[in-house]
Amino acid sequence: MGRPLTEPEFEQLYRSTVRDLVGYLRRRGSADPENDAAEVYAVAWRRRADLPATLLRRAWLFGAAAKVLQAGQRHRAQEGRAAAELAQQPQEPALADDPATAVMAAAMARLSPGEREVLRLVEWERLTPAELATALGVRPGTARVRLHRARQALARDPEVRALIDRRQVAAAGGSVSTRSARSVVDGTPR
Amino acid sequence: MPTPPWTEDHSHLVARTAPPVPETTDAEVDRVWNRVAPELAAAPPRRRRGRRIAVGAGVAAVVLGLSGVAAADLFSARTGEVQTDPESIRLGGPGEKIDPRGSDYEQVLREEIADIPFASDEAREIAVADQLFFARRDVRSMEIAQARGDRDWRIVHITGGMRAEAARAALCSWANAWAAATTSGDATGRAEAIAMLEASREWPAITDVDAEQTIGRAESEVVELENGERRTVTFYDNTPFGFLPRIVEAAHGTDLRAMGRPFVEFTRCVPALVPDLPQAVPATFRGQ
Repeated sequence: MGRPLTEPEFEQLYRSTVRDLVGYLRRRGSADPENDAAEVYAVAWRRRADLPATLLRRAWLFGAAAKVLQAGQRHRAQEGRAAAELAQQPQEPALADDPATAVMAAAMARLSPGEREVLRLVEWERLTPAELATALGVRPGTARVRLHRARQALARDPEVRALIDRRQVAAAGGSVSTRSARSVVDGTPR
Repeated sequence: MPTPPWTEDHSHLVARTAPPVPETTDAEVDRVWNRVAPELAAAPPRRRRGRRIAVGAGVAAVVLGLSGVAAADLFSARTGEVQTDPESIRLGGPGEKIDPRGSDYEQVLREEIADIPFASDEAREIAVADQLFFARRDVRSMEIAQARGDRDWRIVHITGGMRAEAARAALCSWANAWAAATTSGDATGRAEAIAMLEASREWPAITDVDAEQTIGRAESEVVELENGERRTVTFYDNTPFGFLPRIVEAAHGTDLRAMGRPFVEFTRCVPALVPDLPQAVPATFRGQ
């Protein structure tokens, strides 16, 4: 943290991050990604004296975006529209043609919201542990604990264990196995 | 039953659960900016911290509160002042304070990093251009601060930080050379890259800011598992070049992902420095 960003610096930050941020908002089911992104950058400009070091600013924007989305959901809930709107927002991919991904998506859905979001930030948005801490607004050690717990929770899921076991067996026999055998494993010949 | 370890396969499968979303178009980028831009004129910063010490790009720049500003063409970038404040050394590295407004800044930069070996002249030029970009940005920031009457606000670079930044870029270039040689089966090129990466642990530009190069123990925390068992989990923190041993270790293998991973997790490579090792750049920044 330090001096406030200048306007040229802020525009540079915007240009270098807006595509990632809009993608993040879309993956989280934002009803209006453009409007939500504009709100996030408006917050960032007002908080420009508090922004973290350059390499952590993208993650900071993700954290701000999460708050904007939560505020929007609260607002809609107060208006009694949340359920109807959320029902119209596809937040998960169509997985019918990929059984392995479907198993993992179902296991992700069984995690707590906090655990799920930690894994999404790391695996979907490719945040480093330091960036994860920035996005969550916690100390790096705390972020590592949360990531460790979320990974443990997912790895412990019985269906995930079975899936990984099957894939490891298939991979171990891959050199002498057949395409049809792999197809049995996850339905996706590689 | 013990919890299975987290594997690359877990990560891969979780990544695949991301909903496919359309690429953000230029028109969308412009529309969002059109909504943001009016805010820039309207909103003052909510808070401004008291003076003023911060890191710029990596460890190269430190912001200081000093009085006296001169015109760029009247002085050299070399100030003759040595950084002595321990906290500033931690943030910006040791050595001489360098004023990025000096007309000979580029020459000074090239002098300071002359002993750092790059995999190619082109890689050196990319690294120099990268640092000059941030220097120009810092100059522009000082001009804006002056225009607003904040005349004692000044950014200086420290030679130790400038050299560390260049060394980091050089590591990227040698990792890229290693990747190219490994992929093409060039045994001679691969051996040269491995030798250079091994030797880098003793480069003065690196040892001046980080002689340890370790992922050090940071803290422990007691975690309660679902079965009620309590387990102490220890987490580690890294020194600025703590990732370097992992790079050296990866160099003795042939896995490009293993080589790229430490760069992604612990530092950054300019994409232009690693065209043959895209694994060293986070997926979202590839192609930029």
